[in-house]
Amino acid sequence: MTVTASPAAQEGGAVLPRLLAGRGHQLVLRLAEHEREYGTLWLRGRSGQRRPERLIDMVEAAGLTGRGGAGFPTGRKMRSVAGRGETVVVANGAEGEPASAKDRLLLTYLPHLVLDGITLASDAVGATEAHLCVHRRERDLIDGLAAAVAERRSAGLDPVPIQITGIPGRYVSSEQSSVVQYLNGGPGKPTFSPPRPHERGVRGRPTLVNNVETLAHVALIARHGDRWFRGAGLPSAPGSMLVTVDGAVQWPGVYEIELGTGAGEVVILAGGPTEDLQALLIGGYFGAWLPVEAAWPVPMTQAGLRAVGGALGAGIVIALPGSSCGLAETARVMRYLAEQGAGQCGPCLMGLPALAGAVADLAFQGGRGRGVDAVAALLPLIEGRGACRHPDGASQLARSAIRAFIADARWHDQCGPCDGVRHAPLLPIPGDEEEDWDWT
Amino acid sequence: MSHKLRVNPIACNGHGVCAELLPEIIELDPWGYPILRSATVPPALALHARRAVATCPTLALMLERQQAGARSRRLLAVTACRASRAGPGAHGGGGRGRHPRVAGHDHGHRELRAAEHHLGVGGRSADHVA
Repeated sequence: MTVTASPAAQEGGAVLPRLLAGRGHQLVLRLAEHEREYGTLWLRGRSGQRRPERLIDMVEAAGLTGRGGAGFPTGRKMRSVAGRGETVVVANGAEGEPASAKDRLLLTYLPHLVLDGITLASDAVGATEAHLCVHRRERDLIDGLAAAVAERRSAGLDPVPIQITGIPGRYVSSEQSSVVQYLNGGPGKPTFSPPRPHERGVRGRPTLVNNVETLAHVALIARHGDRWFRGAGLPSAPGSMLVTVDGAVQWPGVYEIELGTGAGEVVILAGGPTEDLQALLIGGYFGAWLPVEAAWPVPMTQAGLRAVGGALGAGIVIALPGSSCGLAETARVMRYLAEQGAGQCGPCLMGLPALAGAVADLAFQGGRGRGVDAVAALLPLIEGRGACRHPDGASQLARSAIRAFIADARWHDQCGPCDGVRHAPLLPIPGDEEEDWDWT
Repeated sequence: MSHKLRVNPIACNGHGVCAELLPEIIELDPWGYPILRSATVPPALALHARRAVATCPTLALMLERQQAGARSRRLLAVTACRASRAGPGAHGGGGRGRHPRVAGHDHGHRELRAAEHHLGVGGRSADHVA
């Protein structure tokens, strides 16, 4: 896997934005405006022939991967569900990452792109049921989506009716098995797998669960084809993706980039740093801290980030200024993640609070020479021992913090907290009042 | 063909019985939940592994048959559990085992196969534990 190559199209090939092309002139894109901007959706081929499975070939040839965090090849996922009787499509728009805003942006301003994707995917895998899941506390979003769905119904654009479901707001409730469990009448907690949703999901049927951005890409691939899709990004990681940039940058927000764009270029795209940076958090709270010099050239692809011990996640880039303390930031997030577990698996239930406590001690008390070792000793007791990836993601964040801020960590360990701990918190952590943490 | 141990971390409540019965493979973390040193069970320990599976109070420990190269998994937990439930009397002349609840394991093999056949394909774990 090449790490140094910059996207071929960066030198003036692909035209971006693609997904966000309809963003800019007005607020919510209504159906008519949507069709004018992106083109009409043909559910039947121009010849009138119905070959829905052709879309799966196209998605596979396009090399689209899931944009929700796991990065699984979408075509393969669709093929595993297609042709297995009455199937179900679930669009996951419950953005669990507090630092991510891309799914909400798509659903709020460009709902028809996502709904097109749901309709196309339902058609391709032979679904008789389609669900769009968002956080239930976001009433405005749900109302807006209901209006968009009604608009499509009157235009005759919904061969499979799309149901909008509000799901609990917990971090783990947006995991795919949690979403399926909630749709099946459960509390919305991750389940033990196998069986995975594509084998047995909603009401026991093979279920395709895709992130809403992934489905929006499907809507564009259906219109323009796989060669067009591959016109952006790297041959090994084609296409574009949405990133949420936050922290010490000029213009925090959601941007569309080609896969393979350097992390530093993403920061530049957001107006560049507002002060000296010490590290980037890439991939969100299940991602990793990387020292700024190391992070700058890293390509935004699954493979590129894995090669440096990170993760692409849902495409989040947060710039940490030199005046902040990375350990204190991590400690706050770790406490949040420890609270956000489903409380089902022992190693997560007991291990994450212990790990969060160890990181907090190191950050805010100083470790009296044992703090770094205390964190390191807990990591292998947690990783890979839950039913879902929650404990793995959280411990990856802690591990990367110790690695990226090792000099600072040694200072904390020997001499006590640095000045940075008094810096205002940078990473967003939802407060209890905005969260909806009940399981009922 | 070999056997593979798995823990369902949702079902596991950390009773720790498995670590008592199969210390060669299972140890406990500081909170009492099992850590598998290796998932693969050597043939010499297969009987002990089955015993640990059968004794787990929450049925969180599972033994799966792994066929070389094939992706099919078969769940042995249910069957092992049935073998244990049958009790010593059911097999006549049981009760020689180290653990009274799972006596009769010498008859277990045939019964396991029959039950496996009855179960059909694997992947039923969620049904059985959730």
